[in-house]
Amino acid sequence: MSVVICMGDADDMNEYIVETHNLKKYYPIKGGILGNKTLGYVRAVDGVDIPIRKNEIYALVGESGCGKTTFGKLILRIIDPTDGTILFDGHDISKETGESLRQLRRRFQMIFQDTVGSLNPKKRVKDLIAAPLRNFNVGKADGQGSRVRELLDLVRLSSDYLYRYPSGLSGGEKQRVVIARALALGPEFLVLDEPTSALDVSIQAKILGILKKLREELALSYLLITHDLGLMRTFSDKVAVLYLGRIVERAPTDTVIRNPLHPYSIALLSATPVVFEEERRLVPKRVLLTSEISDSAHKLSGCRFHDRCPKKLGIICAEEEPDLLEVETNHFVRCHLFR
Amino acid sequence: MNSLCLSITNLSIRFHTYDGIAAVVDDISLHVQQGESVGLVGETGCGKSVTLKAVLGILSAPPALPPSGKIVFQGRELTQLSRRARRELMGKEIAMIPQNAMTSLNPTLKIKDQFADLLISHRYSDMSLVSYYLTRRQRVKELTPKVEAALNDVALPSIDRVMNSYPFELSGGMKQRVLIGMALADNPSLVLADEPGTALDVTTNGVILDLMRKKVEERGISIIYVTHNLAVARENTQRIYVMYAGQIAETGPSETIFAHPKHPYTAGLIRSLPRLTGGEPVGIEGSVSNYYTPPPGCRFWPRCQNVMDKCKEEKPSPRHVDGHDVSCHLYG
Amino acid sequence: MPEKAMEVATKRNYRAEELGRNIYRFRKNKLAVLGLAWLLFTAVVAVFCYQIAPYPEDEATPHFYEALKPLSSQHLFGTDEAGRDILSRIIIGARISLGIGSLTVVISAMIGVPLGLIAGYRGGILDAIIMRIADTIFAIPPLVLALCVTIVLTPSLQNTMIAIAITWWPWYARLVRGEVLSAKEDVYVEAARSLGARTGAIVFKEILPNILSPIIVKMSLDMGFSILTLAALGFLGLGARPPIPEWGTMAGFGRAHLPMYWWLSAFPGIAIFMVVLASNFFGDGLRDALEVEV
Repeated sequence: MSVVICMGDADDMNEYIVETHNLKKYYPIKGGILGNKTLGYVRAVDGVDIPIRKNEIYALVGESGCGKTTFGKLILRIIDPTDGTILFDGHDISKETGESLRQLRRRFQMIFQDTVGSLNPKKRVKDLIAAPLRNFNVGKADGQGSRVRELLDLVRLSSDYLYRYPSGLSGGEKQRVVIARALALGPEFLVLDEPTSALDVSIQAKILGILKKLREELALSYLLITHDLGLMRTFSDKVAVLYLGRIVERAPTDTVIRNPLHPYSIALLSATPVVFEEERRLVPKRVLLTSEISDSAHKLSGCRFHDRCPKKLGIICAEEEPDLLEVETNHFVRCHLFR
Repeated sequence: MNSLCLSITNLSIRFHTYDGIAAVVDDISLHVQQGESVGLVGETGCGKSVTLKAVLGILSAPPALPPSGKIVFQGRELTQLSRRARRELMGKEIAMIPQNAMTSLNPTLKIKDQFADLLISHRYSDMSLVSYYLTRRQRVKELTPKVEAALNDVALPSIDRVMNSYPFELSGGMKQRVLIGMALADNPSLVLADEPGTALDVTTNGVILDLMRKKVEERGISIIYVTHNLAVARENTQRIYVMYAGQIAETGPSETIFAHPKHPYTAGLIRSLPRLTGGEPVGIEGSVSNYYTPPPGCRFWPRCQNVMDKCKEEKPSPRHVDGHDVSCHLYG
Repeated sequence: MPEKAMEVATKRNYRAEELGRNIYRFRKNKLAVLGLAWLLFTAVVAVFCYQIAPYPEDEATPHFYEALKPLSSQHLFGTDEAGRDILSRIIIGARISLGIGSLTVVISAMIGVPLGLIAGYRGGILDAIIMRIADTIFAIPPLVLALCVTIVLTPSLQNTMIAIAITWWPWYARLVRGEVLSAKEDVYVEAARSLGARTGAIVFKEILPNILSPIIVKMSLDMGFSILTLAALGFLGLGARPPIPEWGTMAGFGRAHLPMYWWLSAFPGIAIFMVVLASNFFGDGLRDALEVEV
């Protein structure tokens, strides 16, 4: 059915598909008269360790600006890390460049947040999906045709769609094309960046269903990037909550929902509007953060969250950044409340 | 006193497009009592934004054809009013809170200036351009206390700083508050909120929605929340209209409409929601059919699990079932 | 195979739909349609010029006894100083003006577009070099530059073509460079890169199709300018050498006989005017229909 291409040695003993160690991405803030003095750094991703097991769905949750999209792009080497290591199936890919990096791309792919934008409006569906195959010379001209049809089948689109342009597709159909294209080369790992935020609820569920099915059928692993806690709950196995580039809480999804520990996680959960009574019981009373994210957040010392934290202990929060500690089995929190 | 604030009856709006005439809104009726919070909920293309625009009188026509049906606001038939009379109502009696705070504020004017401009236009709608420029300075000064009061009302911190800032200097949440302040400044009777709580971060949205709810309650304002987010509607309204493909499928109290949905579409929506309690969301098969040759009968039948022969031929009329008004042949 | 047939049928469907939409938008602009009509008419005239012209031999043959005859039923536009029928010469001249005009535009584009692609996508030193050369050319008024080049290369029809192409390519380079710079940041380019596309594939398969519209619009607008410049050079005696019936040259030589024998300059002038106007209307309409900002 699908072709899984293994590069390097097939080290099946490795249970982690992706691991990051102290991954960092800093963007310099330029200033000065000529605009070339570095005033400081925006620490978009600041020392993030995330282990993703094979066949697991790992969620990265946070609000805009927390660095989750940047992290997703870092893992796939769409951007270059400032520091830290990225291991893919046991191999360090942090420093790969050029052709070897390009070859690696067959094993992992991204579903971009801007679905509409990621499809070239001038290309037909069949060319969009075949593009990655052509890039790597997979299959002769006819072999590609059948592979494209196979992929459309996987996402449950009929071959009617082959000759359409993106402008002739609905939101859900576009998303399926994006998924089909991402699967063209038989990757093992997908980063899903807000895969359903632009879709209607009724279509969202269908797309998620397809993604779940594909995980089974093709033995895929996912990193789900989202701010929607409901989505996180129904779709992922584990979650890491990100705030200003740091993980503040990390645990199995169920645990974080039922027993959130970090004040930020609690605030997030408390702000989630729900439809059903049974859900309401899981939502803590609304936590009011004392202010919004300040513009000089990149200059903060100590805990990143201290200027907005309703449970701030005192001076210690402003001076010393807490470590990520295992508070209960598999439940890690970065907060002075739990030392 | 509970009088009718807004009453829409048999409203139909059709659009002239390259592919033909599209019946985007088809014979809908809804009403809002004075002081009531009502939700108008639906997915993309259901016609809720178009309905909003029709009430505000800002439909781009062409390509829209003049709507048929009645829109009555506090006893006045809006479509019959002259353009001038209509304009007088807008902003003062009927206000809108736009979805996107980033793009709704004039980036080249300070907050106090654009706010004052808004208030000036409410009070002196007949002013000529020349007299506007001549008297502007003075009027802005006159109105500054009013602007301050309005911004205070929406709990904006450091009001002086905000008033003298340009929109790009403010955060998303602050901009949204300014917009709410602008909408509420002259005590409208009806507020139309366009996708509230979707443009900003979850935590900020929560605070903004709470603020809106509070203000609306305090002043007895009627408000329509137009949104695709069922949870937002559930938590902020008393009654909800569920729209599908230009028609109202079901309406009922917020407490029961999602807990005990009657219309198959509403039920389908519920089944699609990802819940904090887990579970597998199931979508709705198919997609919205085109409106150029809308299927006769119920517009939902191609996707309905309970479809009967009657559904394909006859359009169902609203029936009252257990406190909800449902347009579905399942109920007689 | 029935499958293939169905596929082909669906294939045609979507492209036609897209085209149909654009045509619909274009049709709404009456002036643009008129412009296109005039250009097509002129093109047909140019192709069949020898068949249509009443006195095709007048391209070169003088008839001095017929010189400077005013408008009459035998010579609808009169005759020139060598007794040649002006109408015929204008008809034959259409071939030259339209032909050379479009050819020049195509050559300018063929030079400017690739240079713009390189400058925009690669950036760096190449970008700097290309753009500085372009800047230098921009700084000189186009007509003056074309003039100088023509003089240096000795005036002839071919050389004016080269001169105009040299003058015009920087506009294409700058346009394309700007479009590439912004297209480079688009998500589908990022997606293409992450799907393993090499640079060449990205530039030609992803970016170029999306920036084609402004280029096409510019080319249709430029046709008018190109014809005008050609005519200007001809008018000054630096373009086509007589007896070649190029409109500008005709108008130029007719200057000596103004104002009494006005038809020598007037009709070529009107011909130029009509084609340039038509190309402007057409280009504008095209731009509006394709919703492009040039």
